[in-house]
Amino acid sequence: MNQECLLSVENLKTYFFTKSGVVKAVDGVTFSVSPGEALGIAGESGSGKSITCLSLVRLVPQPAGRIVGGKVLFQGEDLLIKKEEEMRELRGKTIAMILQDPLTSLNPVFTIGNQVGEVFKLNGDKKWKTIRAKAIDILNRVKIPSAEQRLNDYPFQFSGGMRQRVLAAVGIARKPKLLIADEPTTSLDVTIQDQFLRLLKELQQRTEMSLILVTHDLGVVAETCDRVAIMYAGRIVEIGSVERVYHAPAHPYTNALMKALPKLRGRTKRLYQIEGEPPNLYDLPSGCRFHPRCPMAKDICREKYPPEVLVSGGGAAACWLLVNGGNHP
Amino acid sequence: MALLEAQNVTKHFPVSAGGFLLKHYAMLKAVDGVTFSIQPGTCFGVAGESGSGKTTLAKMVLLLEKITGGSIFFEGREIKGFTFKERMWYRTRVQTIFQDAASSLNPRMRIKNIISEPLVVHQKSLSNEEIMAKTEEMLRLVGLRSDHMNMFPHELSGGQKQRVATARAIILEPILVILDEPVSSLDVSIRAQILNLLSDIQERQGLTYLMISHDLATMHHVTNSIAVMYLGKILEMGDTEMVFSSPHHPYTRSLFAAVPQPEPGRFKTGPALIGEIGNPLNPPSGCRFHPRCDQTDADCREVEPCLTEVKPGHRVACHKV
Amino acid sequence: MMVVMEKRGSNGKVPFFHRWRRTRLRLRRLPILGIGLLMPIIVCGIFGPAFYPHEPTQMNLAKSLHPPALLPRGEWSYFLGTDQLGRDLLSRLIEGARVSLIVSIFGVALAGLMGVSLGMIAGYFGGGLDHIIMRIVDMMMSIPPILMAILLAASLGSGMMTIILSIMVIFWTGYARVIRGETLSVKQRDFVTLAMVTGCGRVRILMKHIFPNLVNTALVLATLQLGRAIIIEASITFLGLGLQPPASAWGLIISEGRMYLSTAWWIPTFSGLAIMMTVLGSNITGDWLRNALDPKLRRI
Repeated sequence: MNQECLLSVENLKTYFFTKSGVVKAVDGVTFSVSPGEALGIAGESGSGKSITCLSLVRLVPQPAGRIVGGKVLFQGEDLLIKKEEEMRELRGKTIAMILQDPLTSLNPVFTIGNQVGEVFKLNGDKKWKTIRAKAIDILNRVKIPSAEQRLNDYPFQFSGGMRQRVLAAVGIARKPKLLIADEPTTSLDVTIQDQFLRLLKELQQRTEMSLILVTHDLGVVAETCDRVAIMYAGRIVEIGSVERVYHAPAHPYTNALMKALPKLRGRTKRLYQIEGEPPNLYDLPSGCRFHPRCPMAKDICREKYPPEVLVSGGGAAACWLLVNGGNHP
Repeated sequence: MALLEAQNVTKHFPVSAGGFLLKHYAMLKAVDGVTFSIQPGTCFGVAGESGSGKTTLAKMVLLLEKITGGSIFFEGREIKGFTFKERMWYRTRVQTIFQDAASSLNPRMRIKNIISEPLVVHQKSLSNEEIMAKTEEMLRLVGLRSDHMNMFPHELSGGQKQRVATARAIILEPILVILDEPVSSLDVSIRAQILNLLSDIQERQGLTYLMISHDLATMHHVTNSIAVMYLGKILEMGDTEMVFSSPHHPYTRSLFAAVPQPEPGRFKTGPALIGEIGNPLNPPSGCRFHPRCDQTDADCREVEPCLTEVKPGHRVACHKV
Repeated sequence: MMVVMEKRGSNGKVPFFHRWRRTRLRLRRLPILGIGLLMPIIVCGIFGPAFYPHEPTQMNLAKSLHPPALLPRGEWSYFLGTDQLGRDLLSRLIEGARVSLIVSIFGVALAGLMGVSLGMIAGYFGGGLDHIIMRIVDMMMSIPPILMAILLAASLGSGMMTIILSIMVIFWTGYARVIRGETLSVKQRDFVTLAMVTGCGRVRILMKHIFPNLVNTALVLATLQLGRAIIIEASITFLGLGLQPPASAWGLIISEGRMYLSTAWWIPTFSGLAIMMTVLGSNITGDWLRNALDPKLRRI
């Protein structure tokens, strides 16, 4: 393990025990994040990306969900064996989260000033004047106009983009080392999304904070992150720098995703399509989970799950086609 | 002759604003003077963000909302004053597919009944066997199997549900289908399947599409012409290739620049678009986009620009162009 | 717990064996308590006469006010004791089950019919019609149920029909309110809009699209209201407005046994227990039904 790592996740497993069976939402996920780095976790619905984030801070929905294995080493300490009080100390202060829906993330009956101020109260500030000043300062930092007047407004008086910025403000207020953002822009309009992502990037770079950005939008990852992990059916199938993964994808799934995306430039007659459906998590395919949809599946893909292989150019991917120095098409 | 023609179409919603004592009625100008025409066999795209009025426009074409002002002509006939019989006829010619596939299917009905319902309503003379035969044919056409016939919607995946919605939309062999964000709620790996399916069906049945979406990349692939809407008005309109390769309106340019692209290291030219999307209840004076535009001047604040041709087939509503 | 994999035939219909297996799994989760309490009542209601140890109306003054078996002077053949006229209490209770069930089921069904229809119409059409119907609901809900029953009895005379009508008049408002709300929410869903775009008429939309999605709620309401209906029925009969003696309704038995509370306590006690069993059973079953039918809580 690299001493420089801020966060190192090793073989994380989170399962959901339901009446209909066991859902292996996260089934052996390994990755790391360095200080000041932005890692994107990309995948479709059911890939396990959101549950991975919730597992990092141990907020997996219970009682059905349980972290059943692995290690989450944050600054050298395993978060999975900490006591709940210690985790509570950590959450919000050292590790912050922004979730997808800004509407439900804010309490509708309290003013924005109240909710932002609460963060500073938790930090130990007692004087009302100090809290207020800090709240105005942080709202200014996320570029909310007329911050002072808006302290007395309620969440419903803010637009979606503004609310998300308020949540970002709450997130960075206590200067966390790591910010986890789970689909923060999915519900926002395109131009507002652009504003928000630029803001996020600026905040991240200014404070040398690490960022984990979870999304299904590969474009967002390309423009905001340094490294990316592609998840499929509970596992990471490819990981590497954004340049390498996007220009030379090693895993057939990544490759197919890149080809299937409609682009603003370059029109094709017919879009490249990936056959089949995302897997049923109650009944995962044997061997490599992507094999039913993979145009290059071999017999071994059906039998055994492929090992992670280092890819030239950086990063790794789990595919039988890469074993023995093969270079997939 | 154009299949569908809109001339200065307007939709105003009276909305009660103000507090308890100062209650008054304001006008929400969801669509404010929109003009375009759709040629048969093409795919016409309407792009815009929230508040642009694109969904309201689609609803007016589907006769789900009354047209407040202007006219919409279908095959040369004005749809505003349709009688009951004419409306029933119109419904066999114009159909739609909605964004949320799960919500589009009645959870208590079997797939075969969902798909065959339009036939049952409009073609009462058909026998049961004929209806079922046609339903099965549609099912095959959209890539589903016969054993899906007796299933319920909750047993299907998102992509399969959207296929069922498609089968239902085309069973009466309409000539115009309104696609309202047809793939936005689907997984990325499935989107291409559905878009290709829609394109195949268009070719096979000779359909015309009106597609509403905020996803510009998809629009680029699928549409022949496109109109960009903002706060109830069309700001730029024309042949898709022309608009995408050289957008003229500042909003269109910012919109394209803002779309995230899977290109690492892509240069974001210029700053992000400032400000929030305007309020349709109280739109800015003059050009609706002026508060957010970096090229505004007094003219933009006072006078609303009209759509003027900058190239054959490409029109822009901007004073600076 | 294992996942049930269903094999479908080529026409999509699940073959009998698998349907049977799935039903067995569902049955394992049935509310044993609720059904356990209701079953005896329902069985008595349907097959009552087969179970009478004695004729409910048969008087035997020699045996009047005998306590239940196991107590001094009690006999096994008069298992729950006898009332003041020597009639076997158990037989009377069984007969009472039949009466109570018929009255409450019919009453609740009629209330449901009226309430669901009016609720659907109010919710779907909105506007003035909605207003009128809801104001009527408000008015009717503000009249105390017993008062309503008394008014009806005064105009229609006492008897089974009066009770059934009273129950209908008292309970339809509850349905109407809830169903109106459900209708409003179902109306918003895309498939209703699509039905309109297809050209479906209003009647078709109401019957084929809206109503099937309301059935679950209506069923749950009905099960929960069954218990309340029985209490209302007992109250009405208790007041002397419903069935008259020598009928064997539970409310009547309680009413007749009022005077004997400290001496022949078994008369009001067991009849009260019978009512409690039925109400509890229907409430538990209603709760289970609501959870079972809620798609969000569904597991299979």
